[in-house]
Amino acid sequence: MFLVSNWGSTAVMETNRRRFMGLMAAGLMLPVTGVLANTGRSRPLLISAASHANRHWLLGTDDTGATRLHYPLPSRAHHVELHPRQPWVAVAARRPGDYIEVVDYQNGHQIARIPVDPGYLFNGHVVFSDDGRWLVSTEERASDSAGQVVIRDVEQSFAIAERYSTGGIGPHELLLHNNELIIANGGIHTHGREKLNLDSMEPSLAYLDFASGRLNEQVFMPAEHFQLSIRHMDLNPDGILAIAMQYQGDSGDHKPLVALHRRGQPLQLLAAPEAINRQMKQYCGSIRLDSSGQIAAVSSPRGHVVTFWDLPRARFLTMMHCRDGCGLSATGQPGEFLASSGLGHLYRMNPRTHERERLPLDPAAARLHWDHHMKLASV
Amino acid sequence: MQSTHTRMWPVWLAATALVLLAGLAHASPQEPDWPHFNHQLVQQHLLPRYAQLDSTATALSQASATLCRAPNQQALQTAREAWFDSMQAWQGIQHVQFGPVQFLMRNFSLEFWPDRKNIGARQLRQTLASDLPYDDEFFRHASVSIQGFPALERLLFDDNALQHLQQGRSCELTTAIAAHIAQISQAIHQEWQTKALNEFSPKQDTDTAADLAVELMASLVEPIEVIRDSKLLKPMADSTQTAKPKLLESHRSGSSLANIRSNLAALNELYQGTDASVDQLLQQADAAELARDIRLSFTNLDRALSQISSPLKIAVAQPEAHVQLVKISTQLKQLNDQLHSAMDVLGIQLGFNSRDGD
Repeated sequence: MFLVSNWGSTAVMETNRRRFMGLMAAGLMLPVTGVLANTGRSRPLLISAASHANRHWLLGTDDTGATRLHYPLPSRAHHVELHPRQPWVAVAARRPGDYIEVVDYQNGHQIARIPVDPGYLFNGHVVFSDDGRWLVSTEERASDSAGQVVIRDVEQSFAIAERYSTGGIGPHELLLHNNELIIANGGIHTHGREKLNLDSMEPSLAYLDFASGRLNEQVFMPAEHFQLSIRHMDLNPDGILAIAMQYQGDSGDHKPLVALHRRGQPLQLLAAPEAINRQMKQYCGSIRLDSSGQIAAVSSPRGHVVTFWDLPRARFLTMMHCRDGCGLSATGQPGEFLASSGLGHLYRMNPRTHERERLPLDPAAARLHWDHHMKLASV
Repeated sequence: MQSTHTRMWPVWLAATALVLLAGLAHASPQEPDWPHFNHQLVQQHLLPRYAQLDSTATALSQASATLCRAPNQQALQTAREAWFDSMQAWQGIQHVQFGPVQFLMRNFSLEFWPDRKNIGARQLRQTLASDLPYDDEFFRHASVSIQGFPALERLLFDDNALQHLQQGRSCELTTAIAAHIAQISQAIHQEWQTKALNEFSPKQDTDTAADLAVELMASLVEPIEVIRDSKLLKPMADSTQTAKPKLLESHRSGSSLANIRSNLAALNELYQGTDASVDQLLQQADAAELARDIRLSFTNLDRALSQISSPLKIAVAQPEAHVQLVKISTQLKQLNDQLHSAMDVLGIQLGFNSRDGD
């Protein structure tokens, strides 16, 4: 197994840092030209972390339900992210995480296992830069959950090139768009999985310049909603950021669980009608936009529902039942989503037509608990 | 990049893992006859209980109408008894949280609880002060806190209920809410009759039936924690001094304890009271001991609850009763654990992502 071992030295980091800054200055962030070069007979591959009886895998399922990737992982994982140029998937350990595994999803070979720096923890989410050169992860300092985004150089054995502060604690999902990092600072100080600061949380959204780490904008959750942890998000082509939250306050409270944000504006909080909002059990697991970027799907595994939201009109659309549903992915069809569940079910959902179709899965994959997030690739 | 590209996990390893997993999938002793199991539970447990909710709600609607034609003490008493019967019927099927009861948020319309922010009181005041007709259109837009049993309880069990019912729009609203409850209850009952024929037939295909069985199992297992946490521990708080009797469900009518007993009686029936049952499945899966422990837990809980002598809103503040209630909450925890073990034995997975957040 290949272990990245040269991440620790300050000198190395300084070299990497200079290289990173040089490339940034030269404007070498290229746009994506195509997902894969060899897509002559490409077929979709749905990739997710999955578990069963304390064993954990990276799972890839094609559109016939056949398992194409079944790669063992050292512990429970969270988010999966695709490399834009190579048939690689990066899977991040569930927080407090100690590895990021990069795997070739075509042949099931390990590309790298990236350990966490001493004193830090992976927080479950990663992205690649559009040119595929950089792998970026949310991390936190183990002692106080101080948030970090860490940029690793894919071409230098994933050596650390930069570490930026996220301007908050307990960062979770991150996005990288137009040379800007968007970070969900959940605001929760954790030790292991125990939450330590629920009375003094300050969740925020941070926009950081990718090249310099400069904080371009930070939006805090309004004080009256300070226990609404910002955790997951997705961005539409018109610059609307759709956010899914988790409430850490009294179980009787009726709090908005979805928010929208545009640069330079305050957060726009959205609540489903009261009874539906209750059904969401104050908890959203994942949020993804459809291929048109106009509809957001939000999973609430505790309430066994997926809710759908109209982004341009900033309102709740409808909900669908999905027991323990959490992982979401858009298909190529506008308005259409795939949803996975911890019960090993896979659905195609369309909120416009209210269709919900159970998709075939091979029996072994259907026995697995599909974890939090999934991604659609093609092989 | 090629230098980092080492081949560590040969394809055969993945293949081995798949074979192992396939083995796991078939490890359970013998797959129960889920179509038969579901059919029995729906015919003998769900349908009779929805029928009971339907008929008691109709009676409640009639008693409320009678009360409001001539509000007097005796008619009020009759309406209160009808409310109690119908509320107990709801408590006896509240554990089923899938199917028609979920459509249009009927579950919340029937009972919006807990209401920690006292939304019900505010909504009730506003509704009584408005001059809108209390018709279908009103209920389509009204807060769920004003639509069901708790709102009706406030109207019928208030200290000065009779006086209030004799003036203003209280009686009009009482009749309207009772009729609305009856309407919802009837709709759920009718829709379940159709659903039973279509989805819970003994000829249902095995895979679909196995999925539906998970919903039935969740109806058995998941309510225990809710009963313990919301209906007991929250109102009990840490001590008799800090107890919060107003957090009890149905404290105005003094039915908090009856509610819990109805819940547990229903769960007990769901566990072992039908011709096919979880109890039997456990015995067939060589877990007779666990099955016996669960039966014993239900018996012990019912006995312990029957020994709480005063209304729960008084009992939570009494040292002696508090000790008994702590014991009951421990027994509930134990039953919860036992039922989760039962699910493990039967290979039923109720939740994964719902268990633990991220």
